[in-house]
Amino acid sequence: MFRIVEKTEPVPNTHLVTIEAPKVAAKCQPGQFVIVMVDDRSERVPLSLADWDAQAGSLTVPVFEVGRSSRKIAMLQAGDHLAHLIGPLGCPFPIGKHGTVVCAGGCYGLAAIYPIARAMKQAGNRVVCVLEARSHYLFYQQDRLAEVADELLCATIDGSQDRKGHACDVLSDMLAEKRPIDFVVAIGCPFMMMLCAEATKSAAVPTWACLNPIIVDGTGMCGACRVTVAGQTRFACVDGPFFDAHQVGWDELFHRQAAYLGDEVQAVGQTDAPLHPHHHH
Amino acid sequence: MTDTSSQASPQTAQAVTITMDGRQVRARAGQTVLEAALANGVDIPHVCYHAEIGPIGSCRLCIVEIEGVNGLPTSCTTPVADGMVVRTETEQINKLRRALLELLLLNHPTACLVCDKQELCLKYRYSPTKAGRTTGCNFCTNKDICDIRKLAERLGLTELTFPPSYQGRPLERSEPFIDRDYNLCVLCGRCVRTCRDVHGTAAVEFVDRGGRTRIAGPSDLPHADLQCRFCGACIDTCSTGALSDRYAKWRGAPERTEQTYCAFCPIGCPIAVRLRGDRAIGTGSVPGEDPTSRPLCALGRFAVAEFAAGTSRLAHPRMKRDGLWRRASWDDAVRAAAARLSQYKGSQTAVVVDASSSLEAQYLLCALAEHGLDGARFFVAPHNARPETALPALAEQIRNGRIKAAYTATAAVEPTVLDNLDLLIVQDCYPSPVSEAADILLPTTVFIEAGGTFVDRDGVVKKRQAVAPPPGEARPEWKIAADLARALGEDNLAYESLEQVSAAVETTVSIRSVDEPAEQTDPAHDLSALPKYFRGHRIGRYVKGLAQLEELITRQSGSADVSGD
Repeated sequence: MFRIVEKTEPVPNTHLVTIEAPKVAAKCQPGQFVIVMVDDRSERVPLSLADWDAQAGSLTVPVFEVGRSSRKIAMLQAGDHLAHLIGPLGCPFPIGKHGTVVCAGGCYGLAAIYPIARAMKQAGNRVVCVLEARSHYLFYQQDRLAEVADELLCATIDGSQDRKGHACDVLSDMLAEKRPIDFVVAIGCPFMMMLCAEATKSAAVPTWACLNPIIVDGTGMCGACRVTVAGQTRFACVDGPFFDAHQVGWDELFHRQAAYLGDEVQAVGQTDAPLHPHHHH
Repeated sequence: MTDTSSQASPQTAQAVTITMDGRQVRARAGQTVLEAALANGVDIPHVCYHAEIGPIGSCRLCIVEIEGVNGLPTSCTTPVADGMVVRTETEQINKLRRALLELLLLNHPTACLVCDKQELCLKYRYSPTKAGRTTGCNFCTNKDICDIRKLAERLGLTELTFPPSYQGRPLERSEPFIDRDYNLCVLCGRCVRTCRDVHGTAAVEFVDRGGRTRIAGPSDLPHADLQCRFCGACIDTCSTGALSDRYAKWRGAPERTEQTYCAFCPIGCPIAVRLRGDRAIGTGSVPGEDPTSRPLCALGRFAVAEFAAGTSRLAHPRMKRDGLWRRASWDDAVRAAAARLSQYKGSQTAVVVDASSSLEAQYLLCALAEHGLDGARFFVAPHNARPETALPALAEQIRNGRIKAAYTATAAVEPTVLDNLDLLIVQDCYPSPVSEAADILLPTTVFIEAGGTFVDRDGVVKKRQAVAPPPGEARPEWKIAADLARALGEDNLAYESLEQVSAAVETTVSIRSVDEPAEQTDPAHDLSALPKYFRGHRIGRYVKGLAQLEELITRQSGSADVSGD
């Protein structure tokens, strides 16, 4: 059992869960993920790492509530336990010195981009964090990112804060203004990452995306997470999760993500009601 | 001064002619300008007005220009007058409407409405997100049918003047059937007025004042503690995604509705089954003259689609061989049923139907008992019967060995006596202790999947329609009975179509209501009268919200009445 040390909902629908898992926390590297089972019958949910603390023996994951299993996590509180947690999984992201590195984040990626931004900064890069949210009230962790970023650029879809638009629009602006970008890493929904990839393609800026297909075992056994990159089938769990965003077969990723939609909709309505009426999740 | 058509009696309703956007249109005296416009196909934007609940003039979106009238009156509260000249859309009006809509949306997640990548988003993010909190249209269960969204599109809202705020109210999703996210609420008040004015209850009301105004139950009590009868009318009238049907949400907008009648209790209310593809995703009441048509009870509104779509529905005929179930073809299963039943004709055989079965099915099985099975005993299990107590006479005769073989079309049979039977054939929609004990299992439809005649509580003969396909190979009860008759050599009962059986029923029997324990209370008005069983199956087992509701009712009655069962 893995105890939840802290749980917050910094912005609507996004939860930050800090979990006691000393052996996992001791080995985490930027870009890796963990798999969580809420209870002994739950799905295995892959979750990107927002941070870890080897000394305290804990790690933090962002959880975006989009179905039964993430809802189960969202309804837990500090002090509750998760049945299983395995990790770290996936390849660590290759951190190198590129020059100016853009770390783009949206949604749960606002939290998940942090370890990479920090490592890129430590490697001597100039780090520009490009963040997107639907509205101003959906930004979180900007302060943490500001600590490791040389520049923080934000876009809101409704224009309520900074540039109106998406992260890809900020990238396009930068390229149009001939500002240097040597390397891009994007974490967010496939839509956001796909648009970022499109924005940098013509300028041929190396762009990496953290793919998030359905993952079951996370160790390369089941093949549920297969994605097509540069025409080849790859497993997001063991070959990724980061891939060259210009080579990703995005349409296939969208389709495969929706493979179990009917069952997912059936399941979400059957989720047990929270224990506390009028709960604050 | 805001007298409207609702007060105008038909005798005084004279025709008047008004000019609307340069066009002469006819209206009834006493109608409002908005009603006259809608009747003439002019859709003046409106949010707080709804045909069923009338006007209150609070959202102001229906403002119009009327010659000779100062300012821009709300068309929902302005009665028509002969010769009136109305302009429903001018540059100035639309500018004001955009501003009004923006104010209405200050606390509503609006981002997707003004997103410049809406088209791309709809193309790639077509699947529902099932999000807990909705932070944009793309995360909203109401996306496809949202009044607000349509208005924003129509009025060309592409920029927000003021940054919106998120209210941060708790999600309410622990109560039966209904999810509530008042962070999406624009306070149009349609739920409050529908509940109070149309259904005469007051389960929700405006609470607090000014910018803190919100919709809630009095004293913030859970709805089950209040007057709420879970008729779902509030969901159907909600102008946003604030209120949603927990089962139907994320299944997409209904593409069409088909009318049939509910069968959970003897009242037999008309229901409009909402379909997407050929799948039932929900039910609603049927507006009309039928006095039983509204409001629906919690089961009629929320349980029909969920019950029909249960994942454990019986879908294929099966036969037990050496104690193990094996899938069989319909031909084999029916032939085997006939062959084995033939060995037990007469009074040692029982045929059991359910009161909720169509008259056609009841007639065929009754005739089969009499003729094909040489006077087999015939039983009708009543509505809402617990299997343990449904048919005591049948249970007794099985227990004492007088009945050796049974064909049952209901699970409302005492399961503990079934071991005494030499042969049990079960025709049912869900597994049960009865079907587990069966030798042959024939999957059948539930009422939205089968047509047929029934007599409602008031003795009125009505016809159900098959509006959704059954799962797998499941067949209507009349069809199974007709095939069984053919296999038993009763060719005069081997009908080919439901219409043939209906005709036979009409000519050979005088239709009258089967004996029912008189229904004391209407479940639409009294939660404690909600049926718990359907054809011997505990409905709450397949309909999560009902199980929750039953638990709440038990808890409430337990605190008030210690002798409560």
